[in-house]
Amino acid sequence: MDRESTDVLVIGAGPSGSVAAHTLASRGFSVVCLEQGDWINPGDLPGAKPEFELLIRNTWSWDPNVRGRAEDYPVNVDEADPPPTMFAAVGGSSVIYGAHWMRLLPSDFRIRTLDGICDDWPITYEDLAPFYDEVDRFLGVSGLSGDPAIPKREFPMPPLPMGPAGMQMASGMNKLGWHWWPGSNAIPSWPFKHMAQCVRWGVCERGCPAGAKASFDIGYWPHATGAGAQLVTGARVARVTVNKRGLADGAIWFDQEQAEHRIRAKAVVLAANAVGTSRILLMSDPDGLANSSGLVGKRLMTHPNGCVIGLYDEELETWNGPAGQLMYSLQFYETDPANDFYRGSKWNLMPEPGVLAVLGLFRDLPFEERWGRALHNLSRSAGKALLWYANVDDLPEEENRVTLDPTLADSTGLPAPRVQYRLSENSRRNIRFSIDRMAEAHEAAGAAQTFVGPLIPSGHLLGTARMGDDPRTSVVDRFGRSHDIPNLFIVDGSVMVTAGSVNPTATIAALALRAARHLADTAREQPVAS
Amino acid sequence: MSATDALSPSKLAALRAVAIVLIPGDDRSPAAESLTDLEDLLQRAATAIGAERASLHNAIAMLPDGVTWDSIGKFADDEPVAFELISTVVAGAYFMSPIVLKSLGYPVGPRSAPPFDLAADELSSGVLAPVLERGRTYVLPDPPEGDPPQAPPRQSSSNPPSLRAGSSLADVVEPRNRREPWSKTT
Repeated sequence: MDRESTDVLVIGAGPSGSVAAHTLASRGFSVVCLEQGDWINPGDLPGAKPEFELLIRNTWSWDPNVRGRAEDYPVNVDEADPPPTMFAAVGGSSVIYGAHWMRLLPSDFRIRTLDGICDDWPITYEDLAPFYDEVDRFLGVSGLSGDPAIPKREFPMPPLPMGPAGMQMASGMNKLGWHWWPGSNAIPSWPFKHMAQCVRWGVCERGCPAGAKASFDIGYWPHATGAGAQLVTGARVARVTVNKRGLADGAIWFDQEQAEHRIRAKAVVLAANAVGTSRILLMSDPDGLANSSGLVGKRLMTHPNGCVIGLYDEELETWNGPAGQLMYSLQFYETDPANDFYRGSKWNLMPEPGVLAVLGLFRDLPFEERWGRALHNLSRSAGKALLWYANVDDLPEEENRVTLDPTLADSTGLPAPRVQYRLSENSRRNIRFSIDRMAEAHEAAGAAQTFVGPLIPSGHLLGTARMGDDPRTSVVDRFGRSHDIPNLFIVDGSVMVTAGSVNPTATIAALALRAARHLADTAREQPVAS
Repeated sequence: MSATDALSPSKLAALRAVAIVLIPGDDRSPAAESLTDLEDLLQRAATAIGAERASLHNAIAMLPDGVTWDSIGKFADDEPVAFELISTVVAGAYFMSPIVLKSLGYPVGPRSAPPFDLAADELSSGVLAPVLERGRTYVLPDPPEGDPPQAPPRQSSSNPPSLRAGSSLADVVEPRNRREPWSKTT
């Protein structure tokens, strides 16, 4: 095996790419994965450093445009509310995800049937459940079985403690009679494979400084390379190439010195997230590769997060993680005819560890009420701040899309993606409702003060190359195989028909596992370029 | 951070003067002035803001001569953007101090894993009983025969709410800049 040819080329080393690479390499295929980013050393992450709240303003921002690293491509977000977030590295955005490990519910696959809107998926919850189970076991997901709000699910690890913060909120939710459940997290309860034990830094979404979170650089890549997959970092793909027979035969990519390379492959797997995958498909052909449906790049969904923070008088030790989710609530998950919107939201309760974040809540106060001795009174709310976030179900809208920017380019000179994304009226109503309910939950739990946060940018990038049985109305089939190019697969969140409300990484990983296994199982019948 | 990006002694002195005025001590927390490593913390904080360092240098240059409570208060009114950056660096430096964090009850130094049986203790308290008593709440698209009906009841698709994309977010949420102030509800 070399870097000039391979059985399977995987583009992107995030969650879906790592699962695909591991699965295919374990089945004996030669696999090369091209990743534009590099490895991140947990010791370089900001969370354990005293100045972490200052480091996340720029250098470790979620926003690639703010971060401005060479390996990040810029994104035109002039028409995006809120802008999408992502991270270019081995492990992809899972390096900075919260590891909230949730599954779509059965209804998420059938909202056309149930609600008369959007489309049903071509697969069901039952089709995906075995793959969810398998990834859970592989990563050592922690959680508590028996939640009556979801189908039966077993966890390989017991739940992490909720701490006094979770117990405080549990009492409030019980007063209201609302659903809650201890958090399920891709954070093992004790050392597992290459992962250390969680020591509760509470900064999971800024990268775990202890290496205790199942980001996919730790959770999957050591196993993928151990199975023989070759990972090439600093490799930015310019386009997927197609031969005269209409089959994908590799890719053109650039290294960090801007030298051009060509790799040939019998099959190509795109795993670059819903923005990056669309971008590559659009760069690969003037009309968009695999785009006979005209849907490549369209129907972007992002899960905009509404947020309400509560400040409590009680000492809640909110410097302790996991964050991660202490608990989640599916009380308002399904469509409720009493509401003026379809579908619902998934909530997650998280501690706020930062002192500056708490002080920022009081930015509107007059100078003399913020500074001097007043500062000390305000700062004593630190350690007592709890956040409810609501992922709202973001329904597919044709106008929300990814295109190529005509002028903005990355450090290689390749066109940057332009993201046009506006909240639908349905999402606006859903967010407004969720914010009101989250404030009620805080009040029931005894919060002394509550604050409505700004809309949180989301890294849940979904839906720009949807799956389906009809090539006229979908980009890939139910296994992620392109309708137009039979040896081109898409395995990331692009293929999702609808978004659900839950954090999507578990679903993306399960879909990738299912697609990669199908590719392996059908390889003998698979048309290939050479 | 390169040597050329480091705060000069005069700029460091200016930040120190602001810190002393903005953060006096009280009965539980120390004054910024009493921190023996205050200048090191300020330098580290100024480095940590990354791409905003140039703005910080400019903001420091705008500070009034002879920082006092009144003059820095007026500066905050007149130059709110510059003041926010300076005060963020100053507060950031102050709250990096282990002495200060301890005064808030924060742990300092290495972290430790939670007690082994903490989660079990929490859940054995009966706190989940009300949730479990409610029974299944998720919707089955195709419930098996004999199963309870779907819950909650479904809305007719003949009268769907508008699903069009588009208009401003202003009446739903704050502007998208996450550094904007949060709106207080109670």
